[in-house]
Amino acid sequence: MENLTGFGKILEQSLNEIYIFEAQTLVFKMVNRGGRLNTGYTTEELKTLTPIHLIPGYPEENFREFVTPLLNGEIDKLVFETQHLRKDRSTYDVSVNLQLIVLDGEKQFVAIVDDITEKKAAKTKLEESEKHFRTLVNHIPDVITRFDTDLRILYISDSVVHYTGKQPDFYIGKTQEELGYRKDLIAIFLERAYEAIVDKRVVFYETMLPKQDKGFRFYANSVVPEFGINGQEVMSLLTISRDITQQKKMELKLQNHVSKLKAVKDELSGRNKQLEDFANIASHNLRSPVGNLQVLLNLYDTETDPDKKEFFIQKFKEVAERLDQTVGNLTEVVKIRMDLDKKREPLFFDKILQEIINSLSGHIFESQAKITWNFSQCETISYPRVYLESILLNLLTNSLKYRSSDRITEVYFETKIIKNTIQLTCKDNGLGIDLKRHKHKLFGMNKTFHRNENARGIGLFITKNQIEALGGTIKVKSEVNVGTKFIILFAEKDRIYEKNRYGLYSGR
Amino acid sequence: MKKIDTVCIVDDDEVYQFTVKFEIERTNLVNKILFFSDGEEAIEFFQRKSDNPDELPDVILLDINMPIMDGWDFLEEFTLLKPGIGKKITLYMVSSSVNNQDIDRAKAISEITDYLVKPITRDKLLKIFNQSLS
Repeated sequence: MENLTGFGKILEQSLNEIYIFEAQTLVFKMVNRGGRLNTGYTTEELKTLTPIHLIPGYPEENFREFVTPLLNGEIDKLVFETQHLRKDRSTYDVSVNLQLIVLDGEKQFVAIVDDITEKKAAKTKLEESEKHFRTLVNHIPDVITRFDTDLRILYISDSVVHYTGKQPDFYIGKTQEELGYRKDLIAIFLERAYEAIVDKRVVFYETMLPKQDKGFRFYANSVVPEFGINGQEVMSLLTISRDITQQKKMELKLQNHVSKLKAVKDELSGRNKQLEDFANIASHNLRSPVGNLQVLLNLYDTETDPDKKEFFIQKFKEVAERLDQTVGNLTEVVKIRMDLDKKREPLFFDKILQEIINSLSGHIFESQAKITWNFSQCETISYPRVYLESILLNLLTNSLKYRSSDRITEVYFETKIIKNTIQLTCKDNGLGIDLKRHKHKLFGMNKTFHRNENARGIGLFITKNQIEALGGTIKVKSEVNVGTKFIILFAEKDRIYEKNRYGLYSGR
Repeated sequence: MKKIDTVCIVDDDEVYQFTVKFEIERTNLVNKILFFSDGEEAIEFFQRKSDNPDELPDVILLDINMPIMDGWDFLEEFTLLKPGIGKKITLYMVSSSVNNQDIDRAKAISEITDYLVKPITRDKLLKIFNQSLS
């Protein structure tokens, strides 16, 4: 060992531990500085030792058997991990690379040995932290899944059992297609995964999945791209799915409450408007005839001429009669507003309209009006018969009353389905109404907009009240001297659905 | 005795027209009464006669609730017309409405001298006519 060549010097000074021992006797011929320092033996001591002394609890027969393939030339080298025993009886982990060489005509073993104490400690630490991490992942309720770039599942957390009843093993190695997921859900996932991979960012989305038994669960999902060491390429995808069914249910409940509150608010402001209307009516339609009666009575009392007295009492009777009529109309309207659950029945628009035309045949003949209709888009409605009759009657008499003498009167009725609800329109080519001036009082009581002696201004007021009492609306479009169009939108519940020949419900 | 030349009634209520005519006649303070059944009729008259102040009334009793053109609509048109009329015209809003909304609205309009609640009795008429004459 003292005659070292240049190459020998390199071996001597190598940081690896290098051991050369005789193939037959196994006695060390040379151990470099690294080996000596780590084992604590001197060169002299080592010359009496074999590898068996360095490997604790390993019998010589076993070692000889272990190296036989090398001696026979079956293999070129043996790579293995073991422990070395120091002179002071302490041990350290090593990885060994063992070869057979022929030196000076003698077979000898060369062992290049690495102290892997630190590496091993690092590995143990890594394993521990991975174990911790897995424990963590498996104990959060979110389902965490790792996919490779072919979107095959590499890992799925234990929490999946809670949601699907199936163990992680069922999922590992499979794609969503292979797992038999619904096509539309796969499509959504593919789209988001693609987005995450291409845009290199976290993508969020929500899904609604059927539960094992019945009902649905809502999930909030994040798709997280995982990058390789270079930090550029996406190597895998993580998805984190959180069960948000409870929040979602609360959200839906809240929405429900809000829309109910809104309905109540609308109802209240509707009632408010009605109260305002009634206050107005009380002022104008009740107080003024009562005032007239007071003045007439006063005139009567202070008059001496019997003819005049008789005249005043005559007027008094007229006013009282008209007041009675007004009170009657008002009572009718209050009844309409109160009587919300008026009995509905299925009605055909054309049948009711024909009946009304018959009852008005005298007026129609006199006015020479041409009345047409098209109820093909919606033939029926579920509505109180008297209301529908009254609505059609008022619309038609309105059109006849305010016809233009310049042209042949035409009145056209039509139904349509607008967003699931029935719309009834009545269009005429009559005098029209100056809406800029009169729109706000069009449907008021005793409002007239024409110097027409039979204008009483009660029809549209009743019509509006009937429609609104059942949740509908009435609107008007008009142009002076061109015509008027009334548009009634009924409530959604008024529509009649019938089974068609495919057995599906559809509106007629 | 000094008298008001012309009083103008704008109101669609026939009975009111009839009774107020009697009451005005009984005050003996008015020479002539003009009747209009709605705002449009009245404003057309004012437009026609705006160059002829002698034929225009001294006092107007204007109803609020009328067909075709109501009291408020009439006032809008009348306000436009007024600067061109070389005559002092006193205007009273008359209504059976006791709604504060109507009363406040009337008080906010400078053209309106006062808001009178129906029924219009002889005492009320005497009071406003005497104000006009003094």
